[in-house]
Amino acid sequence: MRADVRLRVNARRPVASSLLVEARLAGVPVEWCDDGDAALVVDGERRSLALPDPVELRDAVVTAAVGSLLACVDPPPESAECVVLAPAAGLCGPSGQGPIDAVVLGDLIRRRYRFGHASVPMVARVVTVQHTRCWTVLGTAIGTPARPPVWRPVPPVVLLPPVAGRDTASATQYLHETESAELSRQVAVLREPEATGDGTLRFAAVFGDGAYLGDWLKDLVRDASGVAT
Amino acid sequence: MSPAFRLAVLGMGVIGKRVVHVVGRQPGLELVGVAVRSASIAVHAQPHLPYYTTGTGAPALRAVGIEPRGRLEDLLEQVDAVVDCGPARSGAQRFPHYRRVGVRSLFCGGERSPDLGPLVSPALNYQAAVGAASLRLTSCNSTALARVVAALGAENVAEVNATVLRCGTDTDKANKGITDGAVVSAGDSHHAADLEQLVPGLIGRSQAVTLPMVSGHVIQVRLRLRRAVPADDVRAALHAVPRISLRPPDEVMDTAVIKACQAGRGRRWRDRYELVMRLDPPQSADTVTGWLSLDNEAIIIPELLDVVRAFSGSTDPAVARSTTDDGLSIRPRPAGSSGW
Repeated sequence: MRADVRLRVNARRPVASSLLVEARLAGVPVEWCDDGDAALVVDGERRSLALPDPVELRDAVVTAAVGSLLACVDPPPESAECVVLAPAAGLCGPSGQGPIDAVVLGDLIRRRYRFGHASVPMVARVVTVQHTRCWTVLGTAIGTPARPPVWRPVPPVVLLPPVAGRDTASATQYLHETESAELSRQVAVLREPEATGDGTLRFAAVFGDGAYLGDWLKDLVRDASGVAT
Repeated sequence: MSPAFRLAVLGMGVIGKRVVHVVGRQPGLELVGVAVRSASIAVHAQPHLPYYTTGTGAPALRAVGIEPRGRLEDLLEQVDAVVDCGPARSGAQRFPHYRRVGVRSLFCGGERSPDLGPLVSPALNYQAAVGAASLRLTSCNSTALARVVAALGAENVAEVNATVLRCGTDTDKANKGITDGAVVSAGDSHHAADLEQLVPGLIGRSQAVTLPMVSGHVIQVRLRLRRAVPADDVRAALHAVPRISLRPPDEVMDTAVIKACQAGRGRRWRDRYELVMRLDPPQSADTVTGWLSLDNEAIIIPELLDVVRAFSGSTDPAVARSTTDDGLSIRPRPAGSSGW
């Protein structure tokens, strides 16, 4: 018989916001707690949860989002460079702590993506800012003048209308307004990327951390309940 | 069955879009159309609503693929009342038009002019709305304070002293607001005057401070009662109101956390209609002090619907309130329940 699985959430933990959304999307009932850490409650028995490591989460979220964006570049670029503005505390939603009127330089993220036969190295500099709505990436896909890149968006990448592409307040508000999908599931491009004569294509986009947390939660619930969710 | 009460909404801003969302889902109410002047984010995201234009808004809507059904004048011919959610304190420009065509009007923009009708907070003066041709709804902070006064009984409250810590801007705006610092307004804010209008004989004092935040307003409130009341009775009175979520006195109040945790409730825009309140330990038997946390973009919606019901002929405030609460899923909370 399928186990009854609930998510016990400490409302004061920064990850609570995204976890709540993902739990609701997955149909997992939520129990509130005012102290202690998150836990799964399986048939009434509480099992402690180790929340995702912040560095692991950061790397996974950025890698996935940038990979989605580079997949829209045709032909695949020779390399890519990005600056990522990370939300305070490294998570979308309430931040237990974060910079005030300052930016914090983080480590480089180096990845190599494969698109068909192409191998694309990417370097991203993460900067933590006083901002909690979303992650923001400013990237450059570097190609060659002989084969200028073209932007061809594929899901989960979407292009925002001009009215929503001015700033992250407009962008995240628009995604909440459309309600077609939670911010956490999309990579929303702020303006139509254009290639310049030197073969580079610049893009700016926002994304959330819910996709990573959602997959993490689903795996946990599946393992706990003994059936696929 | 009585015909539905037909409504127009002017504006699709922070308040207007919420009114549009709830009106269409309430029994006995019908959204006939929405009048806008531009293709804002909310308009762009909901292109299928019945739009009408004001000013020169038609080309802007057509540019994004929306064909307006007519102008505001055309819309007003089809409705019983208009909910005016235009820019703050701009209602006086439109009121003469509403009056000329004989459409009842409800202003949401923190209007100050008494020419637009009485100031109404339905928990305190519902009957003022029943026969009114036009009225003004209290602002978000005044609505919050009015809820508390009403819960304790307006006749029991002698004085209200409030310090309002308010957001620097709305959640959909990035180009205005205080980036750093606190701005303390000069003189009294309007909130005290609002309460004095709603409850004749009540003494009000209020000041406002604007801060770089968007997670909702906070109010530090002190009420002097006309007689000593046991603390347990105060708590019971507040707890009895479903629109007030009373928190334990030793709980940290983090407005960003409160806001974020609305994500689990499934309401549109993660709206919070309930006022979160935390009482301080009683200093004397005739004084109530505490903190209020409100969703400045959504808190007026329940009271707005109450007033619309008054407009539509519902003369019993308790019935209007329970109908609204049912429609918005505002439920009584068991004592000691966690979560907001």
